[in-house]
Amino acid sequence: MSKDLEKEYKELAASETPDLWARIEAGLDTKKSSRKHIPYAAWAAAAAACLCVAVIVPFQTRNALSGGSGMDMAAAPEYAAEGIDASGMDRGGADARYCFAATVEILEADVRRNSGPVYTARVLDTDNAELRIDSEIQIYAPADDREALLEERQTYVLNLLEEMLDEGMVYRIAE
Amino acid sequence: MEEKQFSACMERMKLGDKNALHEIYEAYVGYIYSIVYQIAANREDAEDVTSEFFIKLWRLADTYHGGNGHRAWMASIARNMAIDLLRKTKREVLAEDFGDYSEENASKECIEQQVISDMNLRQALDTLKPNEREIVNLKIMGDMTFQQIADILKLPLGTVTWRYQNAVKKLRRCGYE
Repeated sequence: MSKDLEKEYKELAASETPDLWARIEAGLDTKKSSRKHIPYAAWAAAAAACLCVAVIVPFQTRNALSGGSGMDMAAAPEYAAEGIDASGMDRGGADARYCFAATVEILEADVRRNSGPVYTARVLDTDNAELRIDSEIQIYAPADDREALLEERQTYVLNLLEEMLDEGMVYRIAE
Repeated sequence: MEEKQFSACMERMKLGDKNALHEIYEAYVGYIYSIVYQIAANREDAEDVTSEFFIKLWRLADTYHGGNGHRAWMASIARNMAIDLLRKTKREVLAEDFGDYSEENASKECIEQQVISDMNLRQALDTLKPNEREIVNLKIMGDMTFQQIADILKLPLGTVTWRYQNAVKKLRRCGYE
């Protein structure tokens, strides 16, 4: 009589697997539970909106009183200093790109046949306020980078592009 | 667990929901442990790596983008973590090098001491080479295609199918289909 391999195999695996949940739960990063993406973005957008109003309204009022033609171009550096695009509030939107520097430790290098390497890296330092220190990210490198791979367990300072695509946030090495 | 369900759990984990990780744990702890045990070859190390895997999964939720093949993705990570542990402890045993001596001894014991068809599954599996056991494990526990297994193990597709067929022949002699 033949025995059902798949059924018995799964039963055997289940019987031999220890209960590790308590140990895993004890090792989870508790900071994660206090992270709130949406409120942070909402506060940043609200602060940017208030700044715009605070800057634009006095100028518009002054120009209206003096018969001027529009916004003072001297206001432009303030937007630049705040990191806000003069045409919008944030750097989101389809295919929007944001360039920033990051110090990362390469954990894994995945060399792919038909595209550039993909690295799993831990963030050690960055000027991107939305990227958490010690988080792990995936970094996509250009196809011609296959010749000069970043090494695992080494630390690099990279210029990265942050892209918001339909499938989520993607990081690429800036060319 | 279906792909959509897994992606939904990962999304909840991004927001700090530990119950979502527990759901994934309940669904896959046996799968991950079996993969890791094939490489680590001892319970203590397998338990260490399996625990660290789920803790790492918790962190990886931040950058998880979804798509197809979460089982293969997890298998790849778990396998790499187990191999890293072997390297750290300087036990240079890689999947390809898993001792043929164990297969030879096991099969001698099999013939001398057992009526083959009376073997239990654990004994039957011990007649396989470690690299055959690894492929059988990924096929049954991971429900993967041979191509997915070849990608994870970085082996040619033909090698994977050949080893699987060898393993099935041996298990069939022990009465398993």
